Amino acid sequence: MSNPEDRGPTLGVLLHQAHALIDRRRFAQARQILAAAALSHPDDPQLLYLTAFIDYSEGKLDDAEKTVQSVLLQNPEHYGGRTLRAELYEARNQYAQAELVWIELLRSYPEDANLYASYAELMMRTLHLDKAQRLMQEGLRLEPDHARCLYVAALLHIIQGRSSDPENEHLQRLVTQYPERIQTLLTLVVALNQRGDNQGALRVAQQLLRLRPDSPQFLNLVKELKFQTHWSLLPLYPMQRWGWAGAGVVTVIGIGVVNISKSQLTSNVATVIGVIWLAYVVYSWVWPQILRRLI
Amino acid sequence: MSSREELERALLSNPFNVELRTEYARVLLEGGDPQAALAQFELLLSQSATNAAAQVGAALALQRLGRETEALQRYAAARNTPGFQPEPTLEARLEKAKPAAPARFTVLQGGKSDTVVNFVPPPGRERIGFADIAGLEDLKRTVRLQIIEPFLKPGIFAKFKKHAGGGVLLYGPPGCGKTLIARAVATECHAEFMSIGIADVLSMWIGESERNLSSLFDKARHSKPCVLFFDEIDALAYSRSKAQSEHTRQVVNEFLAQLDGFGADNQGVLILAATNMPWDVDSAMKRPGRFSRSVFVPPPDAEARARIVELKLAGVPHENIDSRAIGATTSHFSGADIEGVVELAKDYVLEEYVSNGTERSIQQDDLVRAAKNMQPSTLDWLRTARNLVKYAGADASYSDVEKYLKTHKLV
Repeated sequence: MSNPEDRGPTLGVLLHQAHALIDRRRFAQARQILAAAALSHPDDPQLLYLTAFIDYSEGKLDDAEKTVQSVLLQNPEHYGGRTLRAELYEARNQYAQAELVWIELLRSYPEDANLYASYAELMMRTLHLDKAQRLMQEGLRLEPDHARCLYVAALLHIIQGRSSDPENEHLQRLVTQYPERIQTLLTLVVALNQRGDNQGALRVAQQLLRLRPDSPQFLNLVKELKFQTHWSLLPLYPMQRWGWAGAGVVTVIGIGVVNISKSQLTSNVATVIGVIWLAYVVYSWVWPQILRRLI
Repeated sequence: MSSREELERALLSNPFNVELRTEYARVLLEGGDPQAALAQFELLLSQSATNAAAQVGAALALQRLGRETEALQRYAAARNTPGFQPEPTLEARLEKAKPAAPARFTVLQGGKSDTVVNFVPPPGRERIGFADIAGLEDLKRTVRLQIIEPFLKPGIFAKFKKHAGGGVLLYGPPGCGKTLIARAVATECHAEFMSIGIADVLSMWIGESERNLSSLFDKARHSKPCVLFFDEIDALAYSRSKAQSEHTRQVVNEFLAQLDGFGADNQGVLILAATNMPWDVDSAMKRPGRFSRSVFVPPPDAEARARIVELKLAGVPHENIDSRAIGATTSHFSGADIEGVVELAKDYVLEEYVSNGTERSIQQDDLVRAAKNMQPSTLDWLRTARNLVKYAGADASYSDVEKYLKTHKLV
């Protein structure tokens, strides 16, 4: 983003204020300031860019796209406009177009670690993990402590199945250098959940929700983890931990026990075991659905 | 003592272990990385504001970073925290440090008029007391006990060892009278009222926010007794963990330094703040000596709503209005929402006049119809508060909200 102070006092001041309001997620007030500034500077690219950024943040993708086009019409090299264009393509799942924009940007700014992180995130999303890995190596070579690069690198580490590896160096650095950042906490939730430490993941997710109590994403995350850690689901631990494989093993063991009890034990005891097994099967199908609604 | 790497690995598995993190922060400090140590101590404090060891650790880290004044401010604040253990180096330095003379009064106008904010209170505002605020008796009682009496009679609170210093944060849904309460507090305290709104805060972001803030506190000290009120405090003290820009974090740091008011005499200045989004306020603001006391300002109760209806109808043609009935049917409506109901009722009457030429007064049915057509604006806020209370394991500062939600069967 270019320096707003370069644009003369009035517009510079208004851009500064709008920028500060956006940083505090006070979009409505930022919009008012930008609208007032637009009366005297309707074609200023920075002003248009901030307007587009607010639209994008509020999910008004069509409006944001139109305004980004105006930004790039005024100044085709506008950094913010170009990055926002890539983000908009990603938001619409147009990954190939987004990749082209990131590549163009990297040609213009080959030493910008943030761009490597953005491009790597896209590659991660499209499961080009090796490419994402190489991009991250380059980003971290340029800026070893870049928060977003560390975040993407830590997530890559987890996705690549090394979640139980305690040497997730990137996550360690995130936790120690940016302990309060939302991205750090989010990565930590994923890592703890992958390791099977759902209680730990729940506590971190609750901290996330305390930071953003209006976020449906964090609310759902907490609800899901509360569900997974609920005491009444303890008998279903094998299914929760190992999925269908766990369910298969439990079924085989259950049927085996019922069959053995039929042949080895008295009919009364065998009936009781059969009923218990049936109740367990019913509970495993019905109770999780009910509990999900209760939570 | 474990090595730095061992502690990092252990923290990864157990990020909420306070002892582990404290030890890690100390290792960082001893290992010559005070910046990283400070980040860890700050994190501990965001999890528990009354962690005396973390306060002292943060003070030591600040001292090693060469931020002597901040270090002493932090150490002075730590002394009031339960479980405090003196630290000899800082103790000696604090003893040597003499209280600074109150800063000179800063000229607010002239010269660089676009960089320094003029905090002159708007003229001609009538004073509002508790008698002018209808209903909300529980809230008034709380405010009197927690804010007004400690300000007027600090001696009696000191006798009972009740900490009465620091600012008070008023929070609640928008349009429910937080500003009105703050103004009434100033009247009840027989004090000058200085209100800093979002427009002033916006100006503070430009250039010399440090000078702006210090001018403001200076002015408050010169207008004793004075209530210094920050409206929408989240705009000024936005959570640093959420902020992207370095400037936002800097403004918070400056505000914290001013609040700590080390060496400056804040006696006779009551600092109040209001916010609709307490979760966006930096956690450091809620530490002892700053805004350690929070008061929840709920939507008006039925009696208050009825009174607002009466006030809004004053001087407007109306007949057979049962304001109590309207108050009873507008649960969760804010003061602003009630005003909206009355405005909508006026529109119905005027619409009829324009289409039929029939002139009549506002009647009960108009208000009932208007109330049915409006949704209380507080519901979004209450839903968010519910997420905090029910799912996020919110701390004790939200206990009043929890009580409100339970009483109204919203949780």
